[in-house]
Amino acid sequence: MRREAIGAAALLGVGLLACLGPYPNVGEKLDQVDLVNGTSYIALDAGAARILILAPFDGGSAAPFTRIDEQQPRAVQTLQGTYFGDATNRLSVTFSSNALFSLPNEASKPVSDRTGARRTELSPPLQSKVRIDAQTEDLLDLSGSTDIAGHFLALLGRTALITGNDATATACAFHLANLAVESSEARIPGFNSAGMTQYLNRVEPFQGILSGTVSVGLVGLFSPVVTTTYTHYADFEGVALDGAQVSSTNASGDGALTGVLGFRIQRRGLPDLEGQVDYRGVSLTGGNESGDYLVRLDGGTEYAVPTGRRVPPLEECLGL
Amino acid sequence: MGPDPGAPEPEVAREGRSGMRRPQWWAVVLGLVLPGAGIAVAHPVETQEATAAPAEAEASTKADPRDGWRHEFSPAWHMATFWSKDSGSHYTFHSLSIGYLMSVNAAGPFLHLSWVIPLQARQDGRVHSVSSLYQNGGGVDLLLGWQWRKTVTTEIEFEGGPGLHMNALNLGGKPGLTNFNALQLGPGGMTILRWRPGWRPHKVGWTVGAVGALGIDLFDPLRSNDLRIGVTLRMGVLLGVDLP
Repeated sequence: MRREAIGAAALLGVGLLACLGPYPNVGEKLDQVDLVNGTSYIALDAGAARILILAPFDGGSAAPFTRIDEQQPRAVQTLQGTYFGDATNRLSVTFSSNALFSLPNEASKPVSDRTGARRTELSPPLQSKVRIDAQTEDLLDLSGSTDIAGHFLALLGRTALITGNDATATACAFHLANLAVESSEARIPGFNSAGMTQYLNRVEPFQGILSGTVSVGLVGLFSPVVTTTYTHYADFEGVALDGAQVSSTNASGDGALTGVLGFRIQRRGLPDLEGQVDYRGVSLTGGNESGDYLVRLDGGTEYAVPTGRRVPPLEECLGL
Repeated sequence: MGPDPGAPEPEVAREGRSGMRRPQWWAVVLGLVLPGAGIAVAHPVETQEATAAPAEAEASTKADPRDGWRHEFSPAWHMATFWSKDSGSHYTFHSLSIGYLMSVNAAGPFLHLSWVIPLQARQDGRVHSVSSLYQNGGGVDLLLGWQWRKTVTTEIEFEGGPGLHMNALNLGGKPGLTNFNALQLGPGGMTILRWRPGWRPHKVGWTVGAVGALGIDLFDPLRSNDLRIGVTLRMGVLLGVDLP
């Protein structure tokens, strides 16, 4: 009975204050990601990161893929589907996307007007034809459809460029780990909007594209405390997350972040880097972050990495 | 300290039986906000009326069987069917509803407030039992408007009128499933066929009857107005009291 009352209050409150986006399907699953275990590549274009994960064919004619686009400030679009080659032309590949996870940049909108993260079924599937211009162990050049094309480099080879634990290496490691954090947020329906009220008094797990889980739960309707907990979470090769991020705000999204999130940066031919980000220096205004992330890498000094634009840029960190 | 014969007649007499007296407006407003208060507030008005109005006016008021408050309990079948803009899906929810119905006088305001218990959910031909997907679900159906009563015979009465409709639905998803909620608004209307037997213990009449209500929902502020159009139909029986 108490949950019913909370549900009715939530509906009334949210109805008066906010919108939750389009109607969901009846009985729709919260977590609908496809696991893709394969090689991860990264391409960068003016600070925007594009990550492509290609599962091996394993003798078949088609294999799953994931493409994650991350713009700055935070905006994520993740495509999932299958890719297959052309029997007559080995250099021609078609990527068929059937699902899009999106987290739009809604920083200028009040929380109550935001759509937040959502999953869209692409029916018919989005067909993207690309041509393989070059391919080595570390490089994959794709031209053609702008949905997929890019000058990609194997991610594990790029993370090997992050060495030491000085301020630059610490910031670079954090920026890479934060790609995984932002990617995970696009997978949580309603994230960054009033749609988070659906996690009121419940904890829901979501699988990482590569491994692990992230779970999200909300306590308190008008002073919401959202706890996002990562357990061996990885969306792509090179970064794994463990720990928790807690946001405590009022209904307008003003408040602060707390919690400590550990991350592990995997590097080809080198031992993993371990670090942690402490969120206690980050404030939230209308759901938007400001302040500093307090980051420590491999037991070194704790450095303040400012929110907002990546400094240094990922191009510099990963030698792209 | 009786009424002054030289003083103008109270508003109640000037406006006639079918009009709304100013004190009774307050009763209506309170009655709409707090149904239980409607009964309590109605009585002081009657007392005031009895003191102020001439005896023949009181007799005449009681002579019209359409006057007074109706408070009724109504179990009903409730169907909400609607189409979404974004995905073009067609949803239908079949529910049991338990309602409170209230109306005042031969012409006056009415309120239909129902607690809705969804039993079956359909989307684009797929049929689901609500209890298999959702927990702690429920809804509220509200129809608020203006009604007119017509007597067919001394014991049978017809009531109908237009209003504003709200259908709110909140279904909490089971673990791993999304919630489903909606807050649909639009015009509506209702009709009641009521039988009022002559038995009136303690001057309280009893009524039984049937009710049908229709809502055409056009706007859902909760869902970014993803609602293309919705139709809500409620059909049931009623059992009530007819206060003087």
